Amino acid sequence: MNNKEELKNHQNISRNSQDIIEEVDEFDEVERNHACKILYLFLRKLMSWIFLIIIVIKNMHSDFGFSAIFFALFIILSFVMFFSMIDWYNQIFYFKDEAIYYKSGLMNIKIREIQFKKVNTVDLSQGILEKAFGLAKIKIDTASLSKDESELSLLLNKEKAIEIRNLILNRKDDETVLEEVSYDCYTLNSSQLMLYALTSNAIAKGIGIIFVAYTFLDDYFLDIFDIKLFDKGHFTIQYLLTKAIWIIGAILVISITLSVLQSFIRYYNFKVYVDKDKLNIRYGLLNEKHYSFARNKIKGIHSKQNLIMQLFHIKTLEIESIGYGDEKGESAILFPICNVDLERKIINDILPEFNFGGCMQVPPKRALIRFIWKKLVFIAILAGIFTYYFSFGFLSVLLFPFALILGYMQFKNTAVGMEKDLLVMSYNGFYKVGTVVKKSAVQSIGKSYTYFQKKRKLANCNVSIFSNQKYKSIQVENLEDQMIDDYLKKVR
Amino acid sequence: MEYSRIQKNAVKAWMIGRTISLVIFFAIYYPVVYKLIMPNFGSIFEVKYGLNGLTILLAFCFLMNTFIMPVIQYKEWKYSIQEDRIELIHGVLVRNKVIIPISRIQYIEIEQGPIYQSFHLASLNINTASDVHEIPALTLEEANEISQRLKAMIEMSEDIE
Repeated sequence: MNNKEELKNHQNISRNSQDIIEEVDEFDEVERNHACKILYLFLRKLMSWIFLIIIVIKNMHSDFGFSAIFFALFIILSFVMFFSMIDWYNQIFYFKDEAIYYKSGLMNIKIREIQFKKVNTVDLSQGILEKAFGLAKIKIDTASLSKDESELSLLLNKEKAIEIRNLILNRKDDETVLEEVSYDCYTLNSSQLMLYALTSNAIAKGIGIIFVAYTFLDDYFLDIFDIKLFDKGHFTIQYLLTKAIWIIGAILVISITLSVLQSFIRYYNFKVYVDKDKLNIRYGLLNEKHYSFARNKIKGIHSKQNLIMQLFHIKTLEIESIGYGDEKGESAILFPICNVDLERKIINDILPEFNFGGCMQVPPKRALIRFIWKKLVFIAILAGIFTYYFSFGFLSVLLFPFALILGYMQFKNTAVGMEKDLLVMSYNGFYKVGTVVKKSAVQSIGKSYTYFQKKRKLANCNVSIFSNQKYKSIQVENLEDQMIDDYLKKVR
Repeated sequence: MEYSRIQKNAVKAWMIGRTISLVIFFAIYYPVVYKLIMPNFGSIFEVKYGLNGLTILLAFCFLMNTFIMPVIQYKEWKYSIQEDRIELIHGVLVRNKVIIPISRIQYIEIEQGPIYQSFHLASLNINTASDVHEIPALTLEEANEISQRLKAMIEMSEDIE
C-alpha cells in the first residue's frame, strides 16, 4: 500500500557518535550550507538573547559607563557569532546511494537520511535578501506527519540548489527553476488576480489588517493624522449617519486596497505546469516560491468558494498533498481563481486522474428541513433571550432569514458522487467546498444517523482521508440512507 | 452478515469507571458552585436559578451516562471482521457504522486500563493513516487473536498489491 510506505518514509538514524564521525570522514564530498547561513543563525540566536542584552544595557550603563557596556556587548555578540559558526560548520550533508544524509549538532549529533524516492515535495524559494546574494532556500519534504517544520531546509547557491533539486527529482538537464518557464503552463493574469483579491474575503482581510494596525497605534494614529471620529456636542441622527457612511466607506476603500496589494505580492507571476510526472507551482513577488512534487502523491483536489465566489461561479483550487501548504499562513494552492470551464481544463490537462465524469447525487427534498430546524430552534432561543433583556432585542428576528438562507445553501451545496477510483463530495453553506479524492486515500468511511434522521431515511456520510492534518474527516450531511450503504460497499 | 458482540463484563467495567469520574466531577463541582459562587452571587435571580437548573441537568446526564447508557451501549456494539474490511456498528443517540478497509490499517494496539484489567478485558485500537477506531471490551485472548488474524490479512493484502 502506498500510504504505508509514505508513513515509514524517513528514518532518524541514531548510532554511536564514533561510528557517525567515522562514516562522515569517509566522505570527501561533504557539503555545507552557504556561508550566509551563519548570518541567519546569528540573527536567530540573537533574537533569543535580545531580552538579556536589553536588560543588561538598561541596568548597567549608569553603573559602568558606555565603554564597559560596549565591551560586554562585543563579547556577547562574538560569542553568539562563534556559536553560529560552529553550528554552521557542523551542519553538513552528503549524498550516498540515492539518498541525502544530513548531519547536525556538536554534542547531540543527529543524522537524518532521506531516500530520494520518498521525497514528496521539493520547494525552492528566494526572498529579497536571497535574491541579492544569488542564493536560494531549498526545502525537502517527505510525507511524514511527525514534524511541523520541513524535514530538510538548506541555504545554498542558486545553481547548487537547482542541481540538488534536479538530482533528487531525477532530472538531468532542467535549468528552469526560478527561470522563465518553457513548458505549457497556466498563468494568472493581472485581471484574474484583481478578481481574486476582490472576491477572496477582501473586506474581512482588510478589516483584520486595519484592526491590528489600530490596536498597535491606538490613539496616536488618530492624533497624528488629526482625525476626529466624532465632534462632541451635536449628536443628531443625520450627523451620525453621514459619519458612519464616511467611516465605513473609508474602511472599505482601505481594506480593498490592502487586500489587492497583498494578493499581488503573494501570487504575482503565478504559474502551474507539469513536466514529466512532476507538478510545478511557482509564485511570489518579494518571496519567490517554487514547489515541485510527484503527481501520484496528490491525494485530492479541493475547490473552495466563499459567498461572493458562489454568486459568480468562480473557485479557488487547492491540493491535498502531504508536505505542501503546511507552512504558516499558506494554503496548498493549485490555482487561485478560475471559473468552471477553466477548472475543467486545468484538471484535464494537469491532473487528468481527478477528472470526474460520473453523476452527482444530491440529498432528497425531505432532507431540507433537517438542514434548517436546528438553526431555527437556536435562533428562536437567542431571539427570546435578546427580546427579554434588551430594548431593541426584537431586531434579532432578522436572524431568521439568515438561518433559512444558510440552511437552504447547505442543502443546495450538498452532493456526493463515486466513480471507479474517485470519490467526490461537496458540502458547507456559505463557504462551499468541493472535494475530489482518490479512493485509495480514503482511510475509513462511515455513516451516522440519529433517530430523527432514521425516520426520514437519511444519514450522514463521514470520510476520513490521508492528509496533512491528522484526523481529517469530511462529513456530508443528510443523504439518502440507501445510497450511503451502496457507497460503503464500494470502498475497499 | 454475522456480527460479533463485545463482552458482557463491559457494562460493569463502564459503570465502575464512569462512577469514579462522576464522583470526581461532583467533588469539584459542588464546592465551586455551592461554596464559592452561590454565597457571593446567589442573590442574583438568574444566577441562582441558572445554576440550580444546570446542576439538575448535569446530574441527570451523568446518572444516565453512568447507569443506563452502558447497558444500551453494550447492546448496540457490534463488529465484524471480513476478508477485506472491518465493520463497526455502535452508538446510542447517534448511530455509527464505520468501514475500515483492511489494506489501510497501519498498526493495531491492545490497551488495558486498571478497570479493564480487573475484568480481564482489553480494547483493540485500529490505526489508519488518518484516524483511530476502538473496539472496546474484548477478552485479552480475543484481542490477541484478532490482532494476529489482522496481521496475517494485512501481510496478504500487501502481497496482492
